[in-house]
Amino acid sequence: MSRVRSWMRHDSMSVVFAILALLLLAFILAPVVKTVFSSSPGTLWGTLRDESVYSSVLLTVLAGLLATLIGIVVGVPLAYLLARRQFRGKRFLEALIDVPIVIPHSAAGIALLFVFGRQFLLGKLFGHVGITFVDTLAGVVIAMMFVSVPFLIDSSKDAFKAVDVRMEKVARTLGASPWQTFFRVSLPLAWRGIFSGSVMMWARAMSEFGAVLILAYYVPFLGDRATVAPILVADRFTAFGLDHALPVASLVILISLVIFVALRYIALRGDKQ
Amino acid sequence: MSGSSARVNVLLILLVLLVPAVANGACSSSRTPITVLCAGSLIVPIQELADEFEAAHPEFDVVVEGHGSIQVIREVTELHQEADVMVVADQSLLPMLMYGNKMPDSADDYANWYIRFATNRLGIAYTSQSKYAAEIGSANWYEVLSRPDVKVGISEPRIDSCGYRAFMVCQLAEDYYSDNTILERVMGDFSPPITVSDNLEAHVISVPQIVKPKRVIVRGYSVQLLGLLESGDLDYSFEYESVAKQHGLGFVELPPEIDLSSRDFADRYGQVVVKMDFQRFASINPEFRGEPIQYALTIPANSPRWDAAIQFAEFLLGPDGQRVFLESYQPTLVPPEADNPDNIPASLKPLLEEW
Repeated sequence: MSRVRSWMRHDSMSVVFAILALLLLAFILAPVVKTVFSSSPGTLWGTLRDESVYSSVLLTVLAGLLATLIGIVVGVPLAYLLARRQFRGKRFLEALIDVPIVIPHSAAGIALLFVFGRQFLLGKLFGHVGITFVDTLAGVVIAMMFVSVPFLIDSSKDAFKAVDVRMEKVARTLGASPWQTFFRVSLPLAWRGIFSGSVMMWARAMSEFGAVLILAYYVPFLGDRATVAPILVADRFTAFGLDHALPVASLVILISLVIFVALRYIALRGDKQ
Repeated sequence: MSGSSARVNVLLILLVLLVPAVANGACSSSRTPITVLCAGSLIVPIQELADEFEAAHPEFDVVVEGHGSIQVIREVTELHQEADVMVVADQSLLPMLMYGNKMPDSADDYANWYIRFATNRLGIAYTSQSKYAAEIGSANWYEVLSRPDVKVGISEPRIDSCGYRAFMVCQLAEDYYSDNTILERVMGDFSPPITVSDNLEAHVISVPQIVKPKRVIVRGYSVQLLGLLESGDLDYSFEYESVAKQHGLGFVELPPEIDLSSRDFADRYGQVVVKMDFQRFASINPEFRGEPIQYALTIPANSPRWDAAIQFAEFLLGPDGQRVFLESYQPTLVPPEADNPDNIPASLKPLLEEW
């Protein structure tokens, strides 16, 4: 009794913080848990075997992966430059990179349309090689990439910053080329940050709704047509109501959770090593 | 590090901007809100009307929300949103989805009257950049639309009136031009397929549970197709005349025998039925018979601000509404017409007589 009281007296802050934290956790967990458990395993299995759900989930996972891979190829070099070089306008550039996070994603979709539309500059350029962005996989990928690549860049930049510059300098004085130094020293040391940034990007890409909806509703996929999972959930909700949307929503949440938890586990295991 | 601090800065700025907005929202609660749910194709004139109404009656705050017409009703009957005035692009939806549909914990229906007040015509919207824009006209539109390099947009037939009406127009065109390949050529394939069967009275177009288009580009409601027209990703879209003209787009007029505009051809329009091949609403199987386009207004029985709703409805149906609709290229019905006249609120009745 007295121990409890002394704990409270000495640390009322912890108690208040713990109560606030619990409230927040309940706020996050209650909807997720209720949705996931609202459908029986049988219903979930049946939902996954629904061809349009299955192809939608596959499209979402693959398009998100494609966006992330492109993001890694172009985003990691940018992150490295931001971590290592000083130049005029750098802070402005860093703020600019985060813009996709703060603008409404439907506006992002419209902005993309007005650059990648058939009448506009990039749209015309890509049109010459037969790539269009409305109702195509390419449209899904650019929409996902636009809204999610900041997570990868920010996380990779912090990872590169955490790599001791002296390590790179030592490699250079030992005769390694800048390329060798990057691939043999900087990248292996920063990989965990890049990896968790990629996971964040992938997760964010797969959950994108607004920007994808503007550019690509149903896209050709596996010889049929499919739409991304967030749109499928919204479509089931508008066209059929809550009952039909729930199993799809539960399934999508479950799949995201499994992927996310698994990848986080891999990243953390790397941490211990 | 500086990246994340930049983000914190952005968030702080947003927060600072947000606080007065929220505070302002709290202060303005003295104004009575009026929620108007309207068909997407009416959003331009209704927003204009809302602004004029607020200017004349500063004590009200009119909030306009555009949806596909079916969704307008679902917002109230299934999602239980509180709405004061509802306006849909197809009068048949109101009796189908609101009459006989009891409100929760009540013996009353969501609505037992409505007023028809405007019409429209369906045609093809395009821009000067659309492929074959110089060639297309009332006589060859279906031939141009079915060319393989032409991108055609429609709105979602399960949610939006303009969507199922586009199918009606193509089916009516088959009889009118004596060419029974028009619907298939213009719309292309769907997966699963949209099928047409003929019974004694009508051609019945069956729309399956899921609409996955292989040729046309589909969006939730027709107004969303306009951006794609302007970006050049669509060459043509099925659109109401008022909407095309409000946005300064080119508009191919179709013959009145097929454009759903004229009461003279009501019997002809009635020869096409679009049937939703799934049980979407608990007790109703939606089936739409072709008829002249008639916009309709009702006030749901559970409107939380009934008097305010009546006042806005009077404004919309009266001379001010007429003027704004005509300025927005929306033909009106003068005087407006009532369904179930006995149930019409008394203060709206004078509007239904010659004036």
